[in-house]
Amino acid sequence: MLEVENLSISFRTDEGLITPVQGVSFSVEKGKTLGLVGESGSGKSISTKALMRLLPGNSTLSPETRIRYTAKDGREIKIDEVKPGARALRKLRGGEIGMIFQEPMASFSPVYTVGNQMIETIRLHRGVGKREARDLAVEMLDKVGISNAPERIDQYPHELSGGMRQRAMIALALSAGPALLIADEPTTALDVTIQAQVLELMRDLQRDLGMAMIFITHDLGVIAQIADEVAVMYLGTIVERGPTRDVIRSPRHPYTQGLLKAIPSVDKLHDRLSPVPGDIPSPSERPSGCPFHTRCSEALTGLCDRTVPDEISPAPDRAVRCWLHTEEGRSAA
Amino acid sequence: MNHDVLIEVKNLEVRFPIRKKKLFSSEVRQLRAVDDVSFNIRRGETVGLVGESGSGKTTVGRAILRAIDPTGGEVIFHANGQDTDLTQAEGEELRRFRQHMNMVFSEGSVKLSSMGPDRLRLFRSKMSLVFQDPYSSLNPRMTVRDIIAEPLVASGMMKDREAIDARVRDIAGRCKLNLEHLRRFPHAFSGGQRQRICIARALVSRPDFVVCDESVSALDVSIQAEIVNLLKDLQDEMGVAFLFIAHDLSVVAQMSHRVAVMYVGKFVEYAPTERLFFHPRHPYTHALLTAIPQADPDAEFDPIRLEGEIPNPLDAPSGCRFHSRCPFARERCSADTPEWREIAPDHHVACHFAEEFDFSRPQL
Amino acid sequence: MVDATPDVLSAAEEKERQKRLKYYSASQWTLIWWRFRRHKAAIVAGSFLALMAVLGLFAEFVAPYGPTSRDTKYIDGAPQMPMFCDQNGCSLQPFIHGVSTKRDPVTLRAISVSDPDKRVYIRFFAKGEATDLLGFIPIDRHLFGLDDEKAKLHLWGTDDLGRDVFSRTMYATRTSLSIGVMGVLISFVLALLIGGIAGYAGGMTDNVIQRVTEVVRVVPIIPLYMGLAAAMPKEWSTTQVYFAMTLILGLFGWPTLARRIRSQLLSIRNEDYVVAARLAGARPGRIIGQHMLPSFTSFIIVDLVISFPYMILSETALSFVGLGLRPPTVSWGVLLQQAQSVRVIEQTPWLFIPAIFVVGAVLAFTVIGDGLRDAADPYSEAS
Repeated sequence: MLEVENLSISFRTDEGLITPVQGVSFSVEKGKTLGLVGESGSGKSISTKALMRLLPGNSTLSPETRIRYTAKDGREIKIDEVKPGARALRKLRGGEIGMIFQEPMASFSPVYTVGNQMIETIRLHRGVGKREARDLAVEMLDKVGISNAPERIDQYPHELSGGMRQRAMIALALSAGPALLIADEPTTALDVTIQAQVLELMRDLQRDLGMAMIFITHDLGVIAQIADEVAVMYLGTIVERGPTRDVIRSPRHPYTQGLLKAIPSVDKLHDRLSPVPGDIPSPSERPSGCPFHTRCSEALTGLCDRTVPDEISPAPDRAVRCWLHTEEGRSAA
Repeated sequence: MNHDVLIEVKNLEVRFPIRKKKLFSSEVRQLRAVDDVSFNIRRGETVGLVGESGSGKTTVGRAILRAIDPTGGEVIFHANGQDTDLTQAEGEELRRFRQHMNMVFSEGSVKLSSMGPDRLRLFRSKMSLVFQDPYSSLNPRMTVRDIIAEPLVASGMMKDREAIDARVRDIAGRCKLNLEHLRRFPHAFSGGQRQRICIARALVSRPDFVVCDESVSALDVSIQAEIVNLLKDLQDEMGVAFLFIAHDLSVVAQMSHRVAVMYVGKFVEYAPTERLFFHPRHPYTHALLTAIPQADPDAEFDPIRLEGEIPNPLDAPSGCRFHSRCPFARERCSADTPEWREIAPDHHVACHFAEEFDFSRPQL
Repeated sequence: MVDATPDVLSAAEEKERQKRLKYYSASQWTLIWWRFRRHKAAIVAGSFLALMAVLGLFAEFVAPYGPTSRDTKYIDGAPQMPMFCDQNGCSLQPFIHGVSTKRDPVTLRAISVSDPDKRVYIRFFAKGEATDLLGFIPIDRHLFGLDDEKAKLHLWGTDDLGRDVFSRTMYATRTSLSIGVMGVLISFVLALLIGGIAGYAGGMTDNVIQRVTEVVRVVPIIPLYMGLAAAMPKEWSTTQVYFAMTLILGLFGWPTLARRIRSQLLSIRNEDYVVAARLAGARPGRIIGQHMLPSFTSFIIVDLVISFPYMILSETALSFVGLGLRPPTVSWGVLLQQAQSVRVIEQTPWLFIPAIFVVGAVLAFTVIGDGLRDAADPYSEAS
């Protein structure tokens, strides 16, 4: 239901023109979850903000960008062509595509009650009366597992605990009835037991509502539990894509392999951790050719440092951007 | 690793009065951030401290360093050998002890918890803290070289500029920072690099003890791995002891020799790492361990359902703090606070029924 | 898509790299300056203020006449516009028409009439009245003057005593700006001490100081000044009155600034890097000097800059109502005091020109303050 092709975003800053996202393509199907994994600077958050045209004023989308979204009523919306600030965009945000963030307080205004904000959203997107909206809001709060929903609805955000706030934020996003939910590191700031609860909640909700989801995180463990498909991002490009199980079991891209090896595991207690060597280059110092070549132990000189690899499909459903998996790469290795 | 005890914490308590203002009166309630905590840290070892929000783990770390003042209990710092228990000293007595200060450093133990501010400053070089947020813990207006040199300069430990420079370069090199980096300002660095600067700063005075307060939590997994390796290397090279505070159990497991678990201000379990992770005895530890999502789609992710939310330390449950959410709670749990006892050699638990539980997990 | 080979960076890329290197080694102040530079309005305002300051500083040179010298032949005279061409042709050198005094038959006022056939040329760096620049450097040349030394050029007209408005305005600029600066300085020192102690000490000390600040703040200014002005002995020289004014303005201007300093200190006190310094064993003196002060300097500078207009306006207002500086001292307020009647609006509106300076100065300071505020946030990376 969402098709993104060749998404490229540039910014003007103190340091000059930087392009944190280059040539990103992915798609999300109805009812499925796409996990976007990457470290800081990988461009995962910015890419999804671009989907809702929420980028700051000093940014530009490249002309080759294509973002096609199929709305609930079947219409196709070309998001890349919509002008920022257009009415169509406002209807899109919330009603069609919802977003939840890492910091729950970011979604809530501290001066209004939780219920107040939910009712506002519901009325805006569903056009129902105040009474009906309130009932819907209570129902939603209950659905996300907040105890005492009829009382909680009149509380202020700061009166709720961290876990509850996050659930309330999910409820707020869902109350607009979106078909696609973008979750930007929603569980990163939560305690591990609460994270487990929220993950379970999100899985159930998705199943019940048939919602599609884009789940952004840096935690591969969370991805393994919640995403059907995963896209691994590095320095603004997707280096590998595919069904979660496959990508984790047999990663093709050296970066994915490195990431998986770097994860500490209780079962490997005495071994030294193996980080991916080197540092992420800053987006303003983008390496030529394959962005990962500066840290890749298998980089092929003359190829990996000169030309950006195209995305190829080594298996059905899988996509990889790496010279090692191409004819030229294999012969040069 | 030397088995001498370096820091002994006895019945540590940190209480904050919270004043709730009503119209004509004000109610004061006590928030026990740390409630009767006792444990020790050995020379050259890493003790991991885990817990969720409100557990008090950060407060424990800061209380040991006297960044926050404890309201009860003792923190005893053993330096090479015998104990000379020095109590609170001020004014005249203080001046008399100053001459013996070096002696104390090399052959005495001091009660950090009740030390006056001047004496305390002299101990600062022996212990330090690595913060969680690498962005706010570096003064944006100082060069990296000055930031790292701060502990040496500020405490008056070293005065000669050349010596200071040499020491700074040495520790910066060990933390993989080069000369070029020393000249720059913090805004030029990434999170991981800034954290390395923090670590360099914490270690420049060759302390015996460093508290790492969620030092890797804000970092990406690969950078995390780098920093953990760095810390372990530095520990091997310099023999420094760490108190590694974090909420990510997997990382803690990698770093620590022993791990302690806290819940709402109290310790619930403390054991050597492998023991804790594969043979925990406390239901909360077990719940924590099962809640970790593994990066293995085939692994069973079946977290134990804990009812409700983590209690607010202001409204801590009676008896065993965990009884309100514990799937194994019985009547006694809400009435009596469990004793902190040694259930096996070097394995402490605070649970009435710990002997009955066997949460052993298969070791691969 | 083929990219350039990595060994040879193109000239453009090398430039980018150098630019980034400069950025990394840039100290906080450099960064602030770069951001400030991009604020066009602030730069314009800054230049305008700088110009005013120069004019005021070198008033003796810029102004053709002294602040009290009278031109009895040109009373209540309209501004004389320099011309390049008149009915008799054009010339490269600007000139004005000579004047002579006549009596208006209706109002019986002495009016000056210009004689279109008499040209007096304007010359730059012309010889004029001898005077002392800044009070001790003797000069006799001025920025501009007339060829005919006996004639006078009144760019902005004269007042009812024949005094040149342009010259007086220049001298007034010096007085008003300097009072503003000194008043702010006194306030600032006081605010720093008081606010600093309150912010650093906290607790009871802070409480007490807060209450004192509130009392000072609440004192009604106008009656206070009236009382003080009345109390100022008539025998005091103009200089004494001048200093007394700055002192008073400074002594009552500190509460707002002190409050700002205190709140900044309170928030900085809890920043991680300050805690880190404490844990490193730093003495309180070092913590304040090395860590806290530089941090809040960038915030306080903004507050400082915003304080200037208040000082200037206070002085102007007081002098305007006669409570501040008195003639023969000139300040914008004193000049405007003469512009108070309806008659002035009708007949000699050029006496209002100093008001433009007041407005200009206040606006300029405000815009600069805005620009500084935007530039001074150390963590904002986006443009």
